[in-house]
Amino acid sequence: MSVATKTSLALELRSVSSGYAGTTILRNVDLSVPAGSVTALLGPNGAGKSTLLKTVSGLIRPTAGSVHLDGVDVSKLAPNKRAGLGLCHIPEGRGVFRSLTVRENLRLQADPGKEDEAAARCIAAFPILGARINQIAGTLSGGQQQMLAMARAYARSPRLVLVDEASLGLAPIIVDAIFAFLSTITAEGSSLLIVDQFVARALGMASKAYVLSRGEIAFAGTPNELQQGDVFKRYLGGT
Amino acid sequence: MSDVLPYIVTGIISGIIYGLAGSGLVLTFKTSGIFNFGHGAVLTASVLLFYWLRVTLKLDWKIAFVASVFVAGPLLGLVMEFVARSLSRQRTNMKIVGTVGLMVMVPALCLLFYPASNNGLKVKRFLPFSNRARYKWRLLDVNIFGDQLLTAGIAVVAVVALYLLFRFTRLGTSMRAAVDDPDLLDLQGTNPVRVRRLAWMLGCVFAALSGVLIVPLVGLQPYSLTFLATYAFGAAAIGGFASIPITFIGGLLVGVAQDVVGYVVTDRKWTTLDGLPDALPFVILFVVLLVLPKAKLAPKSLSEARPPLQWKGPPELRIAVGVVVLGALSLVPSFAGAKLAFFTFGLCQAILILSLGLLVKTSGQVSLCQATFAGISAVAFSQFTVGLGLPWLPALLLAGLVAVPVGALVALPAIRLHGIYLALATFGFAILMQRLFFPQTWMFFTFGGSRKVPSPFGTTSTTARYYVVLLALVLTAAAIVLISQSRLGRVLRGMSDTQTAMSTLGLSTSVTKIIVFCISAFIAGIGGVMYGMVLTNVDGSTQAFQPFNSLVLIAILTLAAFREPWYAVLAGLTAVIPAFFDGARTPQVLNVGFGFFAILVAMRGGHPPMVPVLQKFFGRFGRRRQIAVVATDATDALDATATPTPVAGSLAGGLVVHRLRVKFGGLVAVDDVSLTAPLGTITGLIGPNGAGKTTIFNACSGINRDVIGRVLFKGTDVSTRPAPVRARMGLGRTFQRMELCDSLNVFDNVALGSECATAGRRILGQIAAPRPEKRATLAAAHSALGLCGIGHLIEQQAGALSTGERRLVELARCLAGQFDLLLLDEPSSGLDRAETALFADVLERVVAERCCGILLVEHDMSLVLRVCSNIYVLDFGRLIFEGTPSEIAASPIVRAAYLGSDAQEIHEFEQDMA
Repeated sequence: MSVATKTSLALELRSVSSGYAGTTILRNVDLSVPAGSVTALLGPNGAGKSTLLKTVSGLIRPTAGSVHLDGVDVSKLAPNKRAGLGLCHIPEGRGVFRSLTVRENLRLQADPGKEDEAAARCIAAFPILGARINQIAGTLSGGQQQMLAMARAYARSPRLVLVDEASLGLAPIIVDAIFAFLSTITAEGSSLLIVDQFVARALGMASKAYVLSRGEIAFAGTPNELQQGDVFKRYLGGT
Repeated sequence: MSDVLPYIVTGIISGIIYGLAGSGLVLTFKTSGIFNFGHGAVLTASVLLFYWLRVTLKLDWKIAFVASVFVAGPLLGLVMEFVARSLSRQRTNMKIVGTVGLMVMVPALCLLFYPASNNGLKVKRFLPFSNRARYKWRLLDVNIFGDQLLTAGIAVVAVVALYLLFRFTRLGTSMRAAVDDPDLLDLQGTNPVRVRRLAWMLGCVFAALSGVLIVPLVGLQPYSLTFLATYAFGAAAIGGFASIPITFIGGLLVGVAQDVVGYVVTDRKWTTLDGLPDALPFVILFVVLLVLPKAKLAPKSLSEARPPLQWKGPPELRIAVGVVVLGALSLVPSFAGAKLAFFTFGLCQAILILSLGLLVKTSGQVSLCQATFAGISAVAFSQFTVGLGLPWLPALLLAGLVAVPVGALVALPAIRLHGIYLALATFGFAILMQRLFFPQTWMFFTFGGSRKVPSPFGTTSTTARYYVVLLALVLTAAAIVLISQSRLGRVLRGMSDTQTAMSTLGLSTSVTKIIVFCISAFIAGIGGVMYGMVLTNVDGSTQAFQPFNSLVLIAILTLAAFREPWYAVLAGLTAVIPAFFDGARTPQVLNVGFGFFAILVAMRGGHPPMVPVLQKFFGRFGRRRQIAVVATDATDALDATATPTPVAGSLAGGLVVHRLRVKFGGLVAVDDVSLTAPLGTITGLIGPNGAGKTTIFNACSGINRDVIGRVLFKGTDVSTRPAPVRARMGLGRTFQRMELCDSLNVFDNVALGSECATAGRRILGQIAAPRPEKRATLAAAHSALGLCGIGHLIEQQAGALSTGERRLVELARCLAGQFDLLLLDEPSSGLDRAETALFADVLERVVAERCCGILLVEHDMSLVLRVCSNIYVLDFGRLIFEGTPSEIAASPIVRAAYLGSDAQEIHEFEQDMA
């Protein structure tokens, strides 16, 4: 590798197109997440938000363009290699192994050899997980499962965390806890790219916002600028 | 009692080894989703190496043991993981063939190295403490020997170690995690491929270990070793194909039961049950598959490759090829001379291949008992002619018919089971028949005896026999071509692509499955009689009727390229090869080739379509055809199929959901939802992801009937009725994840929309369409195609289309049916803006002109607000709002559901920002 260009971008997508077998979902997307900051990604369902996150984490390979983490082109790396570079993608829909216990889930989240230490940190953040340590994850409540999934962002102090719809289907009090947790990990130095149905909350945390519409970036700017237009209309992709 | 004890001890020894093999099998199945039919082949390959090192090279047993278990085992595991990874992307039948090929290949390979192993090669007990005079203990009046204890000890230690590894180490946890969600494991920094590779290596070490441990007991006979491991299938079945400890216990049970039953049968002189001990594991397998809860056997929802695109030559070319091939075949007796018998066998094989192709290629179901059908009919034919003195032709047809109820019996598990479980059930059935029923006096007699299979008019001329078989083949081929072009062909291929869609279109797929198994069994039966006639005498060991031949047939079928009936001709020709290469090793070389190349073809997901250059070249032989451009004047088109107009907006005609509640395990996905979708209007159902919209659709259409509450359609309570019945009452739907028949062209897809309900559950209706129905289908399809503006696509294969086009095809298919109410699940996703606008026009026109109703799940709010007259909003499985588009747009509750938080917070936020 040549001398990495000093960059303050934790994540950069350069003209990325991607999709599934034969179907293009993202078209020519440029997006960046400054290091140490929170960026919100908005857009109606089906706009391609999850596809974008999967392209960043490597579950989908871009058909064109490139993905850079801390200035390093990772477009051809497998997800587990990207995770090794400090990327943590918490996918939509309870990112836990449902048939494993809480303890086993926490173990797999940690670096080999540091399992106990990491588990202790996670339990300090979400005490309820400590109380349920031997329970099968699939039998936890939705909120507890989400906490277990989020704990991963804590287990390894990742450089960049992608959070996909973390608050989906959760009771308000849990949503509060999740957002409080997100603030904590930002304070500890992780950069954040969040997709969330709670637009107001997401924008409240973020210093930068993107709106995706049918696979293209329809808006990029500060939450303030986004607010100049009507959020609701933009969000629903109204015409 | 005490005289049973020794049998229990020997049973425990072999049972432990079955359990060992079964544990390895379950480990690889669980972690990769690929059921290794060739587990026994892996075992045999390791034993082969062991034999070579230990017996041929006379090396120390420790070297041979380590090399064949701990070197060959992991290496075979690496190869298997590579094969399994390719197979995991392919369709189910390819997944099965990919490992069945091993069973064909490896035993033949073994025979090439050690031809004498055909009669079994002895391997002396090699473990320490094998001196039975010295290491012998008596326990409860039973002799227990040192080598038995050691064998049992090694196996138990291995299985306990595997269990501990699987339960308590990070690697084991990763293996279980890879079963749950390989993508998530990847995201967490563990490479799932590496984890699976280790699982396969372990699984193959277990196969190798069980082989090396059992070989002193049974000797090296490649076929019996390969099939011995299939006893582990019974053990795995007891473990629900999931639990390693229970599989091990299952193996023990199988082993003990076998030896004890064997003792009892001999002791009481129940000679009719002589085959029971050997058949027992398969009885268990078959019974478990029949009774195990369906949910446990549900196929994993992995994304499978779409079927390869197909190309069909112009009719002129096909007819010309047919004439040439038939001409060539009828000239064969003039030059074949003494080799004629091989050609005749080739034709018989072609008939069997056609019967199998109808099941596998057309309907997507794998049968591993085709040769058994053939054997049953051959015996029946002999009974009818020799025993009852019936004339030849009626006896032939009757013999074919005898196989039909057997086919229907095998179809029973097919109704419940998909994919590998069906294949396993048919495999179990084949071995069960061979071991338990073939030796009965009313079948083939126990031994020594055989049955005469006469030729017509008592002819002994080989040439005459050749022409008889050729005639049978031509008739069969014609029947198969006719079937594939008739309604049954469309229905079968549709079912092979998506059973769910077919049943929501109104087709009773259970009936379809029984029909296809019956037809296939009949044809296989005819093929069996032909075989018998050529052989003149058949017995219980006739190769053509053995379970192994079913495996060879499916390998050959996979290899043979082209469409029906040409693949059968190609496959039949393989039977002629030994005529020209008549070495003693030819059959083995052929089987190695069949197995090996079948695996390669399966890994690629079947044959690719003919290369475009050739397509173009051959295409020129046909007359240029105008692609019929369908009338796009939707108004005309609509008139053609206008259903009797129901009273617009009448509640009685629409769909009423009353207090619906759906639970998945502990999770309440839909909670106390009541809604109404009247005819003549479009009703919207919106809400965030995961709110329960698709769950409501599945409850309404009958895909999920395990719900609380009521679903009323046209005033009738349909809560308990299955999906096809609801569809035939006029309730149609589309799917969020599109369920198209990817191997059919667009026209056939759309035609099925109308045909499935017409065929319904009528046996004859499913087989062929009477003329008026044909006309109605054609009209309905054309009108729907025109309405959706996809008339120009009709000859394209659905699998080749873009997402947007596929959405429109699915909608057209739904519109072609006589549905009064359509449930459309996110129909605009994948469409671009222009297509979405066009789509809205279509919906409005359909409702206006047909007076049908639509319940629309949709995320595109502009579309919903435009077309719906009433909208329900769902969140967390509950209805939170109902109203007109303008009420929805203004409602703070809806804003909150979509924007999150409460309206107050948004308001504050907006003020903050301002």
